[in-house]
Amino acid sequence: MPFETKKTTLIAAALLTVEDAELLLEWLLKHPRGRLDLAACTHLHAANLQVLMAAQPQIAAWPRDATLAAWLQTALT
Amino acid sequence: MNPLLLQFLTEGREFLQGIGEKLLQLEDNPADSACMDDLFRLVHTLKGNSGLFEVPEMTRVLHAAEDLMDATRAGRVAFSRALADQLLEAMDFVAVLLDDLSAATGEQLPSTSHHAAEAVRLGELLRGLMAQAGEVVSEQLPVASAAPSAPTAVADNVTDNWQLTPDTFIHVPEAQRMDCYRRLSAGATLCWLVYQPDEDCFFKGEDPFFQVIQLPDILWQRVTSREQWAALAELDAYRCLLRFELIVSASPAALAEHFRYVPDQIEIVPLTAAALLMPSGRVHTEPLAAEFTRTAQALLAAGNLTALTQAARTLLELSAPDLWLASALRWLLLVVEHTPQEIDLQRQVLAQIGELGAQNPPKPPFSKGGFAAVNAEVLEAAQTVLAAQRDILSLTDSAPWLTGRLQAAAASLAGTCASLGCDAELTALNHALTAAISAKTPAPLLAWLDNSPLPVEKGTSSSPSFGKEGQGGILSTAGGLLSQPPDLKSPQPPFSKGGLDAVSNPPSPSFPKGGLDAPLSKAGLSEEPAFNRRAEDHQVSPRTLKVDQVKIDRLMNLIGEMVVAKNALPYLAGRAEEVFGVRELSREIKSQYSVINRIAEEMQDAIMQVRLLPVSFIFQRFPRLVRDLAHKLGKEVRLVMEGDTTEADKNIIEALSDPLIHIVRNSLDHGLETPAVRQAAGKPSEGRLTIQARQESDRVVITISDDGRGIDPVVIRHKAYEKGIVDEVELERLTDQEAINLVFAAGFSTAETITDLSGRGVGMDVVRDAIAKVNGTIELRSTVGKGTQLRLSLPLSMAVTNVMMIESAGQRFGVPMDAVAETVRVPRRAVRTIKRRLTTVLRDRLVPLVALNELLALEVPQRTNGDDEFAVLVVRIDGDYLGIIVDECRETVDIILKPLAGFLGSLNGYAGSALLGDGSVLLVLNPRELL
Amino acid sequence: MGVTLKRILVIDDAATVRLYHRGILEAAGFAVSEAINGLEALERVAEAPFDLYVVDINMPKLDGYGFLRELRSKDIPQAPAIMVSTEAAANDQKLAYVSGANLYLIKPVRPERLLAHVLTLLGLSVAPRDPHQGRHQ
Repeated sequence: MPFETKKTTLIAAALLTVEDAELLLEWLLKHPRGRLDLAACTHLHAANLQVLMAAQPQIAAWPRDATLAAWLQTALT
Repeated sequence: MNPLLLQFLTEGREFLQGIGEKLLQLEDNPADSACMDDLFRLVHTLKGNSGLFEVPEMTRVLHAAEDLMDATRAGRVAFSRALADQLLEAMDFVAVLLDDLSAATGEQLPSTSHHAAEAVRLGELLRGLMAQAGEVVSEQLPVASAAPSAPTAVADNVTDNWQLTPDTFIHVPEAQRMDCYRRLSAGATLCWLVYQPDEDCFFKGEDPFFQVIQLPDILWQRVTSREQWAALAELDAYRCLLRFELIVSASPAALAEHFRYVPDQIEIVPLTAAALLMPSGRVHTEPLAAEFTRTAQALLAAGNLTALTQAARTLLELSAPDLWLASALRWLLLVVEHTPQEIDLQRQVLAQIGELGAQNPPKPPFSKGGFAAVNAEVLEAAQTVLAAQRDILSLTDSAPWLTGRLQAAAASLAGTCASLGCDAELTALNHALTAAISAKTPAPLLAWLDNSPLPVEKGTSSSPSFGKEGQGGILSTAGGLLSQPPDLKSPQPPFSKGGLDAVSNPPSPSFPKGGLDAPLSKAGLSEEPAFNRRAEDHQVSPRTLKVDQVKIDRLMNLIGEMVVAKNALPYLAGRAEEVFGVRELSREIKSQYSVINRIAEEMQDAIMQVRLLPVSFIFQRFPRLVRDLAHKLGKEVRLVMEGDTTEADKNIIEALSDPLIHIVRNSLDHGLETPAVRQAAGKPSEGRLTIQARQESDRVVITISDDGRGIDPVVIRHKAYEKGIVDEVELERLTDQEAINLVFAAGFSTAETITDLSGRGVGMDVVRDAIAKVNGTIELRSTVGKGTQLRLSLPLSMAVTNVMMIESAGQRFGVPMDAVAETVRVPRRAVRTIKRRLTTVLRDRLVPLVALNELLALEVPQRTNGDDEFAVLVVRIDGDYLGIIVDECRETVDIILKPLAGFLGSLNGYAGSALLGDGSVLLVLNPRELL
Repeated sequence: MGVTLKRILVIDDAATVRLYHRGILEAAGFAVSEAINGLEALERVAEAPFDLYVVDINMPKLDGYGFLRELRSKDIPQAPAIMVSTEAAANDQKLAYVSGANLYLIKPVRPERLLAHVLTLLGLSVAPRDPHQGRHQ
């Protein structure tokens, strides 16, 4: 399971694969005000990136991986 | 399918045909330079066309082919058979791609990416030919001319600096741009990289984000979407719409290598320091700026950079940091510090600052930062145009058409002025033009340009507008253009002046940057239709109309039905007279019938004319086929084709295609000998294959003859016996000609060994049947050692068939008239039984008889008439006469023959069915199959 | 209102390219004529000069350079000419300029890009007249 949820926060695993994009999208649809904890994430497939860009969810925690964090910050802010 | 794609496919096929022909011509005469030029142009134009669509595989191969042809044309590479082979293979590949594209439904082009590997392979093979030649003649060649395959991959997507427009960097913050500037000044190599993954890339297992994130030394990055994201509920997560833009500290070659699997999805532009120079910020008129500029310009002219720096710092301290002026000053300081030698750049920044402080009214400072945000396309276009005019006016030649050139340049400048709202400059421009023309020198115009406030970029204009256009933008937009309301919204309808000022259209601030399909401007007026198009503006009206086959077929079917429907009138006339007893009406109906009949016949004739196709439609494949086969078999063959303008109905021509190819293959495979064998036989080593077409009355006759070894009746007899096709008795009786005809017997194949050419289990019997299906006949003559001749005779058209109606066992049948030799009455006593077969003697000839009822397995004896005579239909099949006993022969009638459908389709012995005038269905017999 | 459509002559031997350019330009409201080579283009010009020319280089009979030289030698109102080429060679560009082209664009020309240049050359694009407008972004 790539995600873990705590109330309205989705906690992402280290790697989000192409298939996970669908799950991510579903969750975001169900939780329009859900928050994302990406701290553990080291890479996410471009399909996930698209979902995040389209949804612009609140980010509870940016990835600890500096490169990924920098990319996501340019994409989501 | 959108008209542009349709046009491309049609024209593409024509070009491929032309390319094939030219190549074969060149093989015969490699010195034909006109032919070489034609060939080059065809390849070149086709490549250009392919660029309008997103078919990178096709463009890649054609590009390589074009380069190779260019080298060949220039004599750097010698024309050879190997080269022709390679080019032909490449063109076959292009044909496959065209076929793929023609399967397109709707607006979406089918992906051709599964051909990518093949495209790369062919491209490399073509370039390999150049590289080989390059080694041989390398001394005469400059380095670039014989580019081997490796660097081209880089060259394909590395564009030079030209394409960077002021708005390219609009999203790069000043600090980062300045950082890049410093690095570049220090000698670093930086590239601007745009990566737009294919929409379906996720399905190919690609992760573009991973590709990008792996890049080392990213100085700036941005990721956007190519179009507005759909609402989340409708979002397709797997349709990739991402667009990555980066500034990377890496060489173009290294980047090309990193993205080597997606070369057509990226764009790499090496950066220059000057391109990054772009002050930005809040604009506020600053009176001090004018004074500063004057001082600074003087200091710059004096080369006193220290004092200049001091002055700039002072003004910078006085300015709020978010002001445009502050930004410009920071740039000035940066430029002075890091590139003190770039006087031009320093002047440029100063000039912009000066304009800011200029008094009422301020001249529009066409700073890079200024207009980029508003309408990048227009500003970019204006700058391109101005730079080009500067180049043109800087030309020093004295061409006889100099005056025209000056006028055209002035016209271009005037247009640009108007576009930029600098109409005030026009008077001066006109004066400059007059002066230039009378002095026969561009100098006055050049001076005007230098002194004008127009945003002319100096020093960046000499390289061509090298635009690898945005990926995917072309097709989608072009497709939309032609099939839907146009996507393009010109900021203003291009009417002549007068309408110009009446329209106000504020530029939209929310203009989506970087969107490929972004309209030129969001400003309104897009609803203005392109009306008032005048007839005389469309001069090139095609003389030939290309019509969809389906429409012609429909027309023909309708005419066919008309022909049949008119047959009802004689019935009607008959009923009027016999049933209702009105002879007068009957006569009138008959006279109307003759009018309608005549028109119907003319309609038939007309539609036949439309459907006529020249045999060249099939013949055109033969040069290539013969060439390739001959090469494979190690034979030398000269192909002679005559009468290829002979026409016949499309269906006939199409039905001829496969049999003819088979015959030609046979001839090359079995008929024509190898050069050694031919020489030993005292024949020229080059064999000769002649294909002739001509019209003979209402038939088209095609003869295929070769001067090969011929068919030996002794061998045929032997084989036929071996295969059990004939028994010993027949073997004795057969004439040589009859023996030769045995090659048409089912199961007979003359091939000694099965080759990969004609020995694919298809014998001449299949050829004969295919020809017979369209009511054609085939005759074979052969002389041992001299050669073989096949003569095909086919009807010109097959739409309307004239059949004789017969009756048997109370049913009506039709028999095609072209099979009927005559109808006779044979008294029962004249029918003999010889060897258990019914026969009779007709005009001293023994004719075998068969009863139709027996053939149709109807257990009813044939009826005779009152004089005890049988009605006999004499048919001719392959030169033999045969009498078919029927109950009664009736009139002949024109029918439209339709093949039997459904379960009837498998019935042998029927040619098809037809609807009669009274609405009943007539089954038409096929005598050949009956027997 | 007495508006006159601007007339543009598209000269290219490839029907596909002519259709492409025609589509772009007609959608923007221009009156487009076509010619399949330089000779035919000169015939068109002899009937009436155009407001702009979009010229291919490589064509049979008379190529783009030849056409431009002839055009510029005529005593008629000289209109801007855009040369379109598949080659990005600086040499070709210079030759184009010498022959009388006013712009040299590389094929395929994106619709927006072609239109932007055409509108600019004809004085029809609209740039902001307020210099300050652009800087507040």
